[in-house]
Amino acid sequence: MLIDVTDENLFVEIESDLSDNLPVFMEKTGLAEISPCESFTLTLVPITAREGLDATSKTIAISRKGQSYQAERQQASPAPLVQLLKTQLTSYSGLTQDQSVTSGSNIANVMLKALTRSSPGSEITLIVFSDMIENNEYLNMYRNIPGEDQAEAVVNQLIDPVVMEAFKSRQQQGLDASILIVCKENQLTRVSTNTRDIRTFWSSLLNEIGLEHVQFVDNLSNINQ
Amino acid sequence: MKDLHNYTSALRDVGLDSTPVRIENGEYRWSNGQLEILNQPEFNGIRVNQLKISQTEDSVRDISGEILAYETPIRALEKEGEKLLEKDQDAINDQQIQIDHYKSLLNQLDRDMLIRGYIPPEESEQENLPPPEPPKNKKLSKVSLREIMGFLAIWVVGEVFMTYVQWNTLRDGKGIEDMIVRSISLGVVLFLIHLVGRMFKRDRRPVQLVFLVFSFIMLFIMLLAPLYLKEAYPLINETVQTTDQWALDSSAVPEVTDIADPYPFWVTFYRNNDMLPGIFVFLFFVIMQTFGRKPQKQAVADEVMPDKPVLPEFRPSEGKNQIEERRQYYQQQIAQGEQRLRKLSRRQSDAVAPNTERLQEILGELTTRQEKMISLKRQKDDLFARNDQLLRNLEMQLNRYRTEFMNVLKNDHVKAMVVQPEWPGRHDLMDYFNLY
Repeated sequence: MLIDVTDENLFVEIESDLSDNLPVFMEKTGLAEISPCESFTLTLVPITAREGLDATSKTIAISRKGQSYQAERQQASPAPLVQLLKTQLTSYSGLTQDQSVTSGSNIANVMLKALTRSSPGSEITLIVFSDMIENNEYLNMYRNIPGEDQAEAVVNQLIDPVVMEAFKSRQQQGLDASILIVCKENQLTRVSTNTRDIRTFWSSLLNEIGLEHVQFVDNLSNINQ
Repeated sequence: MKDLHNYTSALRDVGLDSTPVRIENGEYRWSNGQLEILNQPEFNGIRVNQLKISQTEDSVRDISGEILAYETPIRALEKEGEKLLEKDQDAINDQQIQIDHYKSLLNQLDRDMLIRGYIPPEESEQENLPPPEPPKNKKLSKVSLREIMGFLAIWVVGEVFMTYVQWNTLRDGKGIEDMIVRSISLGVVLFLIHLVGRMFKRDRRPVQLVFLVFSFIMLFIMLLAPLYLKEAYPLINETVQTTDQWALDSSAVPEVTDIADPYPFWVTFYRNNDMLPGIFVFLFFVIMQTFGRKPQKQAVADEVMPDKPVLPEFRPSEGKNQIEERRQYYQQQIAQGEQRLRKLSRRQSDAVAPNTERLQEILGELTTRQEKMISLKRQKDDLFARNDQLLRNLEMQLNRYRTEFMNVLKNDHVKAMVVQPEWPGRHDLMDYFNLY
């Protein structure tokens, strides 16, 4: 789960979405429902202006088959994940006040780094909470949103070659992921953006790097099952 | 030479007044010439033989004592043997009566059929009959395979049904292993109830009744307690929904792992150890079987004999040659009876075999001793005969001396008037040599 912390207002909106719609979302998708001998790992990564990947993870697992339903429920309980989410949201809230964090955004690199960190054999769902506006030295989408035909050029320019190479290597090992982008439109921001263009751009970019299962929603409750 | 020697001795004795006489107390006083004769080396054998005779008599006495000592164990063994023989004798008699009864029935049947013109088949045909089945062990025949299979079927069905009914109730709080343990525990209770129920029908012991009551209580606890606990003390997280679990601002929903046990101690204890009733029942059964008095065993003969010599009735099948069936039935009964009789006789012989062996050992010992005693007696008789011969020789020599002494005395008229010699008899010789 990638959470954009580059804008305080955006973060408030994300926090509100999570608070209101996460239970419904989890129920609809059954994302964290695990069977015996399965595990579920929630990894939280903030999207900041920094290059590094500040990931925090928590795993729940049903250790073996044949346990009582009660024991299975206890082990499958998402309480530790919820606790992690709460803690990290509080932590991220503090980050939104940090100028070095909010001075820009590096969404594509963070996404690929997070995916590279995942195990190739596992079922991966990447949820990105962001307005999806890249703002760094290579691309400033406040000024210009690249078109569909520019996706390839932007990929080469925007994504660190080392990261891209690692990602490709992972892909060859079987890495595949479903991408869910909760694309927030920041109502309070001074800059107005064309949401449709942004979604088109990201869809093209992700397809370009081989990620085809991409879905855009404006909040968690709108998820298609 | 001897006659001369006797004459010289007699002459000397007469001259010296050494006359053989019987003194007052009946004791015989030998003359010197007689003593010379008596003390000749050839007659020393009399004493030696007498000593041997004494020793032989002692040996005979010892052996007689030993023979007598065997009397007590022989009697004890005889009594014990009689008891052992009596033990199966009734069963043998009953069996013999049964065989005779069937033989008479068979003869009667043959006679009746002959009168009606029916000629029984030849013996050779009878020999072709299938050999009678050996009588089965009573214990095995008591519990037939069908009965065992019936019980197992009831048990399995009951077990599966009970487990199925309670599956949902129990599975929530129990893993598969716990369910198997509980199921086995329930199965043990059911099995023991069935087993002790059978034993109770046979023995009617109060402790068995107590066991059955206790087991039924435990069984009902095992069946009903989970249902009651599920309603009265439901598991907490059964009702927690996914939406509640993922609520970020919900402080009302506690974390499952942090919940303190809200149930009474006994509820938790029973839920965690619900195989205990089965263990209690099993322990009760073990104690009952270990320390309980067993009903007295029937006589050994009952194992191969019917309880009473009640003869089973013949039931002819329909649509067949009833006469031939009846004949075969009687023959079969006779053959079976004879087989049982042989078995009983064999067992009777086996029972007294150790006694017989011991008796034969004793008999061997007695025979050896008896032979030894006969040998000693022969030896003794031989010694007596030798002594007798020596005494005869001695008497002959003494008689010769007597003749010479009387001739010498006759020539001396003065002495002949004064001296009146006494001549010894066999008893005087025996006294001299201490013979008895």
